Amino acid sequence: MKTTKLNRAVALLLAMLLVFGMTACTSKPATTEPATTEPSTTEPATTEPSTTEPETKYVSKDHLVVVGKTEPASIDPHNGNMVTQFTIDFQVFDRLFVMDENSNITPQLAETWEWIDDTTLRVKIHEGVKFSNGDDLTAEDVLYTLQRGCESSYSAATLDPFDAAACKVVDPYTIDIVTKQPYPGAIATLTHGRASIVCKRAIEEMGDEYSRTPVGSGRLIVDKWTAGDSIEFSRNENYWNEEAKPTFSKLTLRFVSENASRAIEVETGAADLALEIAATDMTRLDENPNVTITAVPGATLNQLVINSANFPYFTPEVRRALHMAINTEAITKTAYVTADRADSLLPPSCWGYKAVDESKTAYDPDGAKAILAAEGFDMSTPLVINVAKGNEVGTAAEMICNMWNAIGLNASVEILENATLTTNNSKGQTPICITTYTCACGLPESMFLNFEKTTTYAWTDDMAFVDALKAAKTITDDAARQAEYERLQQYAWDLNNVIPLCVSQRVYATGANVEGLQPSPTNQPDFSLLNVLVEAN
Amino acid sequence: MIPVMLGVVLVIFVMLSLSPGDPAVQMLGPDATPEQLEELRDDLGLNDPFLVRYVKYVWNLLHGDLGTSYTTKQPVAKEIFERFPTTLLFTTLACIVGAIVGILFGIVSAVKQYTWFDNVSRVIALIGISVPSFWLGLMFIIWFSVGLGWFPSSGFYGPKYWVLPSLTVGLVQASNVMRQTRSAMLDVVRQDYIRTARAKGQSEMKVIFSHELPNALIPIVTVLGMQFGRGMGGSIISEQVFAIPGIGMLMTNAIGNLNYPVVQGGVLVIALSFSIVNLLIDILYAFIDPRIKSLYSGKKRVRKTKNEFVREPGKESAANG
Repeated sequence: MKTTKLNRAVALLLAMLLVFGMTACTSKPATTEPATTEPSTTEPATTEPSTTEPETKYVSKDHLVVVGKTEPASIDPHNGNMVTQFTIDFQVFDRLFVMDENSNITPQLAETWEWIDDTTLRVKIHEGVKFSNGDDLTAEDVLYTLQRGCESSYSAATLDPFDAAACKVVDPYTIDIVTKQPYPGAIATLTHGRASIVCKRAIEEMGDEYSRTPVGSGRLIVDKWTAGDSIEFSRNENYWNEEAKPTFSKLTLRFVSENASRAIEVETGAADLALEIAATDMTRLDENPNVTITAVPGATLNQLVINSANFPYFTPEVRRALHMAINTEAITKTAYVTADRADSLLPPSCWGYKAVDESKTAYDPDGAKAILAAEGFDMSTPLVINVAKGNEVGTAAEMICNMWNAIGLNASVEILENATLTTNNSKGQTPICITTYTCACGLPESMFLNFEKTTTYAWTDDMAFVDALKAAKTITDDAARQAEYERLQQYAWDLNNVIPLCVSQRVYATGANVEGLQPSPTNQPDFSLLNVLVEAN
Repeated sequence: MIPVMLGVVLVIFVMLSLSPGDPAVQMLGPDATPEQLEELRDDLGLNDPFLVRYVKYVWNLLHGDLGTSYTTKQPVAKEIFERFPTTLLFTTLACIVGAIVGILFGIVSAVKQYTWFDNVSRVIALIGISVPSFWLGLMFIIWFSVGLGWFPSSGFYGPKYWVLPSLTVGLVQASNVMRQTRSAMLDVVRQDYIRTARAKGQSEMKVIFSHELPNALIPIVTVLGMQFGRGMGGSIISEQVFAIPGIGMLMTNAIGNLNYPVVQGGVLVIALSFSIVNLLIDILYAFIDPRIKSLYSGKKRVRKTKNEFVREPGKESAANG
């Protein structure tokens, strides 16, 4: 009797579980309310009713939630080395100039500016700008920023064109910024996160604490940093530019490292914006009417690097043959998915970009085989492609490996920890690897930087090319500079030390009610422009 | 425990010293010059010989200093103990789920051995052990967050956020506990004292919960203790799927960034937690099994009785009488 009762109870329980599971699987996408729906108390950007629901009023949501992938180690612009850090810096600090999503440079703190000689840029900054601690932002702070940035091991490479010692304050709101040599990319460099203007007094008083609770003059202020979880911001009510104030009063940036979980945050309405959406989640998100996907060409080039300086058996013709044996179109579509095949060493968003003539390296496995035979290349030479852990890069490496093996080469893939690969690269110990390189501030020289540093990456020992790269930076005439960079792109392409594979797209997911997203090619959108419309109570 | 900790420090120090990769390169990135890298290595003490670094670390450790994080410049102890409560809570909740589900199903399976319930439970347990926790976590998110909208998909801010992560890890743990419970119960079920209990006319529930389960608890508690200890090291995958700011995530990031002080400090805290949990389990044995308790309390009683006999023989005889 007891056995029968128990069996019935268990059968009932299992049946309920089955029904429950089926219900869950067949449910429609959730229409969960966004995290916080209180209307903004200031600047309620009320919109007119839509045509379908004429009676509905919308107001700006007051508390936005953004999910990013990686937590930064610091928010101090001169301390730390992560993209997320710059994303946050753009909200918390102001810069003299800023760059929009189309790589157009516009002034931010700079009111007027002029080149008073080949190397001196005189900038007058807006008066009345205050840091979040109440201090006035003056030319002294700008000078301190440049000097500190040039000294810091983290930021010195970015701010290297500036001669910090020669920069000087002209008056409390005017500064002369001096470059080491004529440098047309100076203003673009000042748009970098590294050039975010920091508060001298706060840094001197706070020391390392400035990294976690920075004092900036930006549109948002850091309220609270919960380690490993999130950073909470509030609107800077005293922001000097009324027009640029955010419509929301609070923003929480959460860190969700798992790609699928980040996408789900937007799907469920728990987040208004998710950064770095993976290709595997795009189809699902695209089908969800509550989610908008925005993809833009990025500024990051995925590239195969052949180290010919330390591995001399990679002769120019052997490198060309290796290049010809790679079907980059297939790799882009299969391995990277949300990417565009690269046709230059510069991404299209970079100044001076021009698609190169690929006739010498067009995909031709038989031609590649013939060149290798003519060169007398030992086909049994182990070609180890080093890559860091990661789905896309791993797949790309496997595909290249198979393509090379298909013409009789002896290729294999070695997957390393990112830190190990970076260290090996810096010592010039990696014969072949797949890396990414991001164009900073839209400047072509930033993409060619590692060609110059034979002591670090050792990508090339072609010193004539390296000298040409150094010279190109200083050409002040735009047309001449453009022509030179076009020549250098073609030259670098034909060198075949760096074989560009594709340019990754930057994919953002937002709720359907989100407006104002400026999708950044470097994954650094301006959060303060976001406006999320919710129904008025 | 102290020798264990010193051993752990030595092992982790040697392992990190032998591991490939340069923290300075990782921190400054590929654009750094050799001079900048050298300067940073000097600042971090990476150019010191192994013994000097080891002795310095142990000396600081003995003074309660776990070092400073390379990346955040924060004290390692602060970084770890900011996340420790989250990991402790997560682990406790998962273990509670694992214990309740695992023990209940284990008991029923043992009692109903070779019935369809037992067979289904064993298959589910086998699946539970085999299934990757990240997959189960994502399925739960898709069902309960995206599909039904019952629970948030990530974070660890309150009870409704705790449900899915705890279920994910707890159910995987329950599979282990269920198998262990069933096995231990089956050993006990055939004992003479169980037959005696039934012969005395005791109800089946009374037999199970008063005689069988207490005698089967030792291996179950051991499994639970091991799982709790392992959980304190951070359920790395689940923490990642549910974006839980626990020690597992901290350690994963620290290992990826070659952040040696955080890795060393984290391993030390995990080892300490594991040791404490093991100690507590040993103490718990004494409460579960009267024979273990009597091993210790018995000696005291003998000594006391002896003393009492010497001092107050009258009382002893009264007690006996």
